[in-house]
Amino acid sequence: MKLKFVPFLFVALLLLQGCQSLGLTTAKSFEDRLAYGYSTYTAVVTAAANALNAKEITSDDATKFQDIARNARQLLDAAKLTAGVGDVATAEGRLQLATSLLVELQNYLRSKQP
Amino acid sequence: MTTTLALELAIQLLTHSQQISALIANAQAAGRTELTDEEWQQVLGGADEAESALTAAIAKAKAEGR
Repeated sequence: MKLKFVPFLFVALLLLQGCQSLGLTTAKSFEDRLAYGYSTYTAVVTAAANALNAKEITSDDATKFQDIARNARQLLDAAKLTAGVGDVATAEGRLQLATSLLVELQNYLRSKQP
Repeated sequence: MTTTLALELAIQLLTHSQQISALIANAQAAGRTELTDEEWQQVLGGADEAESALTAAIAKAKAEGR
């Protein structure tokens, strides 16, 4: 059985960045959005590791996933550094790119069907 | 996406979002728009741990021929 609403939930969380309907604190600043970006990254990477340990995906799948995940992490880190020196516009762009990769990671996991 | 993987992803998303939500709520309650260095260490530490776990899982799976 496939839960089609789950990917939608994932995308909604990414786009809204703090859903009050789920009791999550709404992001009000760039730092808040960045922190939620990191939490999404952590969640997706953890899910991939658990899926691999549960033999739901292969090590090849996980390695490809990890390559994309590392790019997302680099973008998040770059966004944090850029914001730290005051260039929030560039930081926002990097955060958006990271978010797009996180969505791609979710789609990649979704494509791994038995 | 299998049901188990879908649920795992949903659980992880909610769990980690709630952790960040708590940090942000504390910051907002204190009138801050920025997280402290300690709070950022918590956020980044979680990401580092997840990466390490995935790397270890990949090594284990390869050793097992999966």
